[in-house]
Amino acid sequence: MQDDQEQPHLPGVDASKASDESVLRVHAQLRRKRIEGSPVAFFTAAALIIVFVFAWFYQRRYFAEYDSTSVLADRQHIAAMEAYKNRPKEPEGPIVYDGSKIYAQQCVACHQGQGQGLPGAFPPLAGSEWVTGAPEISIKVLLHGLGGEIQVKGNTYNGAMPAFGAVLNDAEIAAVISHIRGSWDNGAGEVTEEQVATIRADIGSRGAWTAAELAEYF
Amino acid sequence: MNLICNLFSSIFPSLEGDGSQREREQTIDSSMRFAVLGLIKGSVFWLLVASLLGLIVSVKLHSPTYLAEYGWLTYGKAYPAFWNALVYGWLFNAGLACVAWIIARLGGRPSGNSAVLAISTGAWNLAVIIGLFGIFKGDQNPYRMLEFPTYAAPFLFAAFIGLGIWILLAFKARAYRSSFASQWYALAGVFCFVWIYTVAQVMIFCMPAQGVFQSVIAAWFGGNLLGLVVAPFAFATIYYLIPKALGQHIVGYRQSGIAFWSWILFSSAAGLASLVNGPFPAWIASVGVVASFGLFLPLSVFTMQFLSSLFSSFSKIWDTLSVRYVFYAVVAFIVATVLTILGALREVQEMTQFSQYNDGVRYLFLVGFAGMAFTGMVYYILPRLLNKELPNPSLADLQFWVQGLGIFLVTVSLVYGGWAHGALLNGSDADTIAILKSTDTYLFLTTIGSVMFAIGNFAYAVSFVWILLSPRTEKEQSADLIEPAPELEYTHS
Repeated sequence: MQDDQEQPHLPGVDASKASDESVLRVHAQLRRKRIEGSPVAFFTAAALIIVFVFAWFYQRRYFAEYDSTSVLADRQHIAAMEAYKNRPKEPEGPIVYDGSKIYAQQCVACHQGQGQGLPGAFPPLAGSEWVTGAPEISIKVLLHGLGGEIQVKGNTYNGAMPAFGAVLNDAEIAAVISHIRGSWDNGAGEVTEEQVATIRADIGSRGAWTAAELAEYF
Repeated sequence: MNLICNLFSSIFPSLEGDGSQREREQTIDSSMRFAVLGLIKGSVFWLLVASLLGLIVSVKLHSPTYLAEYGWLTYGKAYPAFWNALVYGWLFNAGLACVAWIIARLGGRPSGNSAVLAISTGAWNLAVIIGLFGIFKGDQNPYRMLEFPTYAAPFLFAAFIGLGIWILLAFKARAYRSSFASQWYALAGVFCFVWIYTVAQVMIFCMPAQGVFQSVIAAWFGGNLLGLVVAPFAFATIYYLIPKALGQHIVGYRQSGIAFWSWILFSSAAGLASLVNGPFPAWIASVGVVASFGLFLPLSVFTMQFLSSLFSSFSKIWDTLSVRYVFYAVVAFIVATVLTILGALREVQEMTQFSQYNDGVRYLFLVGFAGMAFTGMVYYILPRLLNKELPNPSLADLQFWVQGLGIFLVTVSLVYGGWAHGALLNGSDADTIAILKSTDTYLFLTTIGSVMFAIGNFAYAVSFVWILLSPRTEKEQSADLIEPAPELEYTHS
């Protein structure tokens, strides 16, 4: 090469091989000029694609670790499927419903925790002659609801008790009625699932009861 | 008497352009000779301090009783003092010297206000002295690279404002209107340091953010100091030196814009990756990991550009002192960035998090990449500033090999030793102390590497003082030493 024939430069002084002005000018030209099939452009594009692919998969994996609903829901579904696959094949005995839990979910908002009701709005269940009387009354009220005036412990109430026949099954109705009849010194007997089933079958479909209709069971 | 005269003339050099062909370049050089020499002097001083501290830190790791009787030199003080002297002392002085000179030269106008540069340099070095003194006194802050006590920060900041304003003014006064990548990186480094230092100081110390958010800011700052300040200064020197000293334009220069913006974008969040497994929302660390992986994009552009440009004049690399340093810096940059990208992944961090691995990568990035690039640039600048030949080129030769091998040894032993340490901690039920003892070999190797690096730095200091004080030869006195540069040719490849 011709370079080898050049005079060796000064010891310890690297020769300037380009003037500052020409460095600026040539690179400004290079920036403007598109070079077909440049390997740098090709590898830049390849690197860009790799970076985006990695970033996409990585953010799917980690960005939602603690606070996204979508990934958490996915995982819950997977966990539920696993639990369903691993369910015990034999039933572990008869299902027992907890009457107090059903009462806490469905009844406590109106009739209150101690069954004392709200004066003038919701009749009490504790010590109520309607509760401690024949079990049919409670069963029918729960199945189809109650409307109109009713006398409870000497006070008159005028409200609408909703029907639970479509919401709760026979066993649940039996459990919650047994809980109400057994709590707060009511001391009345338990109600069985069969009783509820019989009465439900007898009545068929109908609207809410009135106090007068139920009074005949006393 | 001669020595005193030379000392005086090196401090207050007055070498006017003497009507030679390169009068323009000489006027620029002489306009900023005092200020840039001041920065280089500061950098050499801090390099010696840092290599001494690094040696102490390295020895203390395998011989804890070494210097144990000095309370101000415990590991907890020597370690941050080492890193801060390295970065704020050596790399900032050297990097700003290179960048200031490049900006002035590419601008094509002599500097009208180099007094600003000189005064700010003094203030900066004073601030670093105050900061190191504070660390040894026990006032250090517990955040990486922010260990300087709070009373040193305003001085440091004010001094940098002076340095940065000089660079901006020099850029604004340029005669050529087009700009080159070196100038972009120089300005980016200046703006980024002002930005990240303000944010870190305000949100950690002045009006502290709540709770663990301070750690997020500290990790962000630590990553950005390397990626957005030191690295851009080093890129500026590499982009400048390859065409200047090889006569080879940057191959694939059209992609520089992509490399620049993607480096700024990804590098500004890559530091958050170090928060993996900490008490933070997972997405914060994940942003850091994804950003670290994104560094793959600028890395590939830089690799193609620098290696293609260097290899196209391969035979000249070893004959040209400054380009040899640039070549080392480029290889170190590629290796360090690949290690950063891989080290950010969670699976790797589980191994390396509590080991020396990250120190090794940081060392390679700062010393092997930025430090070597600045050293090469200083060897290019010095003969031009002083109009003298290097009195002993073989000393600089020796320095290159000793420093290069030392950095290689330190990096390999810290990175591989750190990996082995982490693997043992995770995969064995041996006693922690026994595992630590088993890494002694690597720590010894680190010390040997630090000793080699310190020897190289000593050779550097000797070269520098020698060229400062050596008397001018007949040739140097009579005429301009440096020949005018030829025009760079635009070749369509």
